[in-house]
Amino acid sequence: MSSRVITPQPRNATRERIIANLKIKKGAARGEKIATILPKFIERKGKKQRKTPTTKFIATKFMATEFITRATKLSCKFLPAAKGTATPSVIAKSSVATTIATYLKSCYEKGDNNGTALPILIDAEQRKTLTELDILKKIEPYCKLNEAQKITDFAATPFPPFSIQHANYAIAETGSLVFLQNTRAQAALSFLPSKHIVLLNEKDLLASLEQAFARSSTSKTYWAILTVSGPSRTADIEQELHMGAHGPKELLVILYR
Amino acid sequence: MPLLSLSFFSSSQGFRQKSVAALANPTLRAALDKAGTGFLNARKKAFDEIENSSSIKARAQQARTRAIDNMAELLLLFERNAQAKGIHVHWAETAEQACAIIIDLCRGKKRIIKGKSMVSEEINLNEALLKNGAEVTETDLGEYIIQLANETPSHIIAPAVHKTRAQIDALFRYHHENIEEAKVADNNPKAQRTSVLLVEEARQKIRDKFLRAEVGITGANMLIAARGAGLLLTNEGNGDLSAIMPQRHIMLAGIEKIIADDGDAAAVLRVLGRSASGQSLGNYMSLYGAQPLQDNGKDLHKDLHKDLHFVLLDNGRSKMHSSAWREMLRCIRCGACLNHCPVYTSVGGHAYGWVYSGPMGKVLTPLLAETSKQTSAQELPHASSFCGRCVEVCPVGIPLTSLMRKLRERDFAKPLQPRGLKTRLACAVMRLLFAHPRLYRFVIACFLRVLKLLARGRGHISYLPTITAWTDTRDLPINRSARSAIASIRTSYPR
Repeated sequence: MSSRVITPQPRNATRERIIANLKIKKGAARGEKIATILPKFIERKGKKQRKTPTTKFIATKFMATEFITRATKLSCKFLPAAKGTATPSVIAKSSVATTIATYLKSCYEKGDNNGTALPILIDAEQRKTLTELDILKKIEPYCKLNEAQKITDFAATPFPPFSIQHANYAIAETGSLVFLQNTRAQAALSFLPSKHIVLLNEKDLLASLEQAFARSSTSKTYWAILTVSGPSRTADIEQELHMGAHGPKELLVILYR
Repeated sequence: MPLLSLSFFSSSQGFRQKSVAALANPTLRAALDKAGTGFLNARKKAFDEIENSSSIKARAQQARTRAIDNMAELLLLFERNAQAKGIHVHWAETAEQACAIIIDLCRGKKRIIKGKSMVSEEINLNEALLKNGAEVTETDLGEYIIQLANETPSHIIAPAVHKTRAQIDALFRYHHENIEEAKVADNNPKAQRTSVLLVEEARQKIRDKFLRAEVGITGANMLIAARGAGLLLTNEGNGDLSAIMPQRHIMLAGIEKIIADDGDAAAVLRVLGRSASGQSLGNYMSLYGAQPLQDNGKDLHKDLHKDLHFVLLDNGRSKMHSSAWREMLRCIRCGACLNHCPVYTSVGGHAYGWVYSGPMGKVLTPLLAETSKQTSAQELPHASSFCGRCVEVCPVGIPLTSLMRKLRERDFAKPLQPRGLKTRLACAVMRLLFAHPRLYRFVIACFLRVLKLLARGRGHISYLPTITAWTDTRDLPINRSARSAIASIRTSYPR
């Protein structure tokens, strides 16, 4: 616990030296002139353009469409799976539970866990939300629910097959889901399972990165902000893109209103 | 002609030898060819897709410039904000100091995992930790591969870009003993495995390390001063697993990673992913230490982090800040200049002899404290054709070529380059010519007449005694008549 006490660091000679170096303004080598004039020029120019340009202006009406397009490009899958070339759409709140249940049923029947109930990780703190959406009852026949917070040794089950998590909010500009995380267990939910099922309310869609940063400042009880854009991927072997490098192999999103 | 001959005097022995070897290596060539245009196309597509890419780049440049201009204040603000949350901030002036701090933080802990961090390569952290008896595992797939191969990264974004699949397969077979053969290679264990299987194998091997690790060390893409938090961007999710799973998280970053606030961070994020790999953002973007650990004495974070430590490394950066190369501190390490460099794409990263390669490496390596004393580092700025593609693609507008030119000037001012009789003579002649336009025109006209004479009847010259390295591989075309060439010189260098 002692490490937790906030103690201002003693006056640190190293820091003082580094800072002193950074404060030198003149007497530099040749070329210094350009190096100092240019930033000032840009700063002045920047003051004029007050509004930060975003990649695209997104009207609230098209937020969901934009999010779906972006996220699909990032290899997110939407539930219920759209037929053929049709784009996925926002579903009604009442049909969320049925959608998840149908999906898990198909996994169960495929024998994803050798014919036994599918172990599913959930966040204990979200149990209330999930119950409200009537999910827990509907998926019960096919699943064995585990609360991530109750797991003491993650090494015992390094690859839990499924997890269900409700996103705090999402960014339409980049197609990213945002989770505000407080505990190791919550983080485990979004990284350890092979298939990560994410619920997202349409009203939690934000247009830009700035809005997402600003929104995170309003909430108080979290330690890490995690922004997820698609399943974990790597292209480190011969530039071939593969899903499931360390995190989930599939990211399934259910967007409801 | 005189300009051409001058380039022969600038010697870059270390780089030259290594690049000759690299060019003669067929496996490396195959790997680099494969990597080839993938990055370029992805980047182009990502920027073409958005309507206002130029204003987005300008905004990112503005954000970085603001950070560098107010670096001292922002760093102190960052420290204050971080410490207010119970995060520890350590300052390191040199690589040794940084290693010592981290070794101290890892005391009594054996199992260490690392997310990709170029700064950790810069200070040679792995070696220092291994010497102290710790077990270090790199978790980025590319870094993991080169750790197994005991090599240094050849690209700041894709460290194992120089490895072919066959090499990786062999490496994994050698190092992973107890992976079930049946599982990793269907039926035929001798057959070369597909990259899907290789990725899966690494995933299984490393997952276990994540869950048992005691300390996680990651880099930071940005240090947000207004929040006192570190921003981390990864594609594999390895950085986050390294950060979250162990009890202690160390974020190691150069002091130039500082950024003023969320808005500036967002501006840089918009160009970072696009320039690096054509993504609108990295796959996983996380902020660590975003909010206080304690609220009115109540413990808010039961088990996520016992402690977070920031290690801020100087290593010559603060000296760069007041020098002519200050603009280099704007660099966001996206790797676009590497992918677009004709030199880098031919010789690969290892020829540069250190962790930072390509155009940004050519500027950074001779300036950072650890390497500035080595002569091989001083040679790097000379290994450029100054085609300027790096300047064109740089998302934060670093004038890499002019920074390299300034390094060349500095080297020449201090006699770092060999200044034999030949060099001095050539320079004296050049100075004479350039100072006297009439003389210059006259000499050039003479040269052209001679060349025309030599090329009589053929229209090209296939052998010239002083520049055989050039004429051996191609012919020098003398298509235009000497008269028109002279006329064009007259117009371009008016009296």
